[in-house]
Amino acid sequence: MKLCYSKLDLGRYGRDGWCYLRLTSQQCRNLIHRVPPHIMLALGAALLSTTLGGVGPFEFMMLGLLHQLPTSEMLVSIVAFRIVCYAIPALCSPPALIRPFKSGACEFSLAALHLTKSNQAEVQIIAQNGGRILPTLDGLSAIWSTSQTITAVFNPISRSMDATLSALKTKQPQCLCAASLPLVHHVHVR
Amino acid sequence: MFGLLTGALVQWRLLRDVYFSMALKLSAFFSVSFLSYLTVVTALVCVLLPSPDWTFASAMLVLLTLPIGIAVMFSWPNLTIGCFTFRFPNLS
Repeated sequence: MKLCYSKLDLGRYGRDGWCYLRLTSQQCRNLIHRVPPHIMLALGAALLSTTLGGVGPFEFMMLGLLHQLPTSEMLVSIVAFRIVCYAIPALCSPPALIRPFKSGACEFSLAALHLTKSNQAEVQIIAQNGGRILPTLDGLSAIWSTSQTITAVFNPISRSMDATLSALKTKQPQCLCAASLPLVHHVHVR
Repeated sequence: MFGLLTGALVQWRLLRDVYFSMALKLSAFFSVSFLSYLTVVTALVCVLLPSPDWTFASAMLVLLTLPIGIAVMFSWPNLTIGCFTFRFPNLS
């Protein structure tokens, strides 16, 4: 998904650059292989310069390295790049940061794991450390959560591992934060 | 530096159970790793595509030292300089 967003960003930047630079097809053919190295060098200079958004070094490098292109159209293209890649994301993200965790969205909706649930010594260790019960299609599994993962530890309390894997993939978004990853740890080889 | 700070603040806001010091460590690690990857990709692009002549020597230097860097990183994941130990940040 992130790769798709990156491609979308690059595609929009390419479209903006193409619209504003108004290159002929011959110029496009000449520049298509020359632009990527120059953009990478300009990005590196902008990052290392520690200026806000790389404003200044990026334009300086692009105008200096691609001096055969018209300056005014080049600057308009860079402004379009900044609007697409910087301004729009910067305007979109603050509302999401006001309330990153909606009420209840990150609270455990799973029942706590009690010592009496299983005779397995491993499951009882999980229970003593804040483990939870994940209901699967045909049974139960003991899980333990970390900041970034929802982890099924050891074999399921009852029934099959396939059902546990399926439950980890399908139920984890509703159980824990969206940032959680489903993991299986220290289970039987089958 | 500004990106490092804003990145740390956003991660501090979005990651539960993470203190600001850990968010700052994560942000610094992300910045260093991103710059490393960008250096390698830029060197590769500069070697493969038409680029200014002055970039060739430094790009080749980066690409030739890349295997050594990877070997060092995997062989000694914890780097100790004096009383400071550098290691990958761990969320657990």
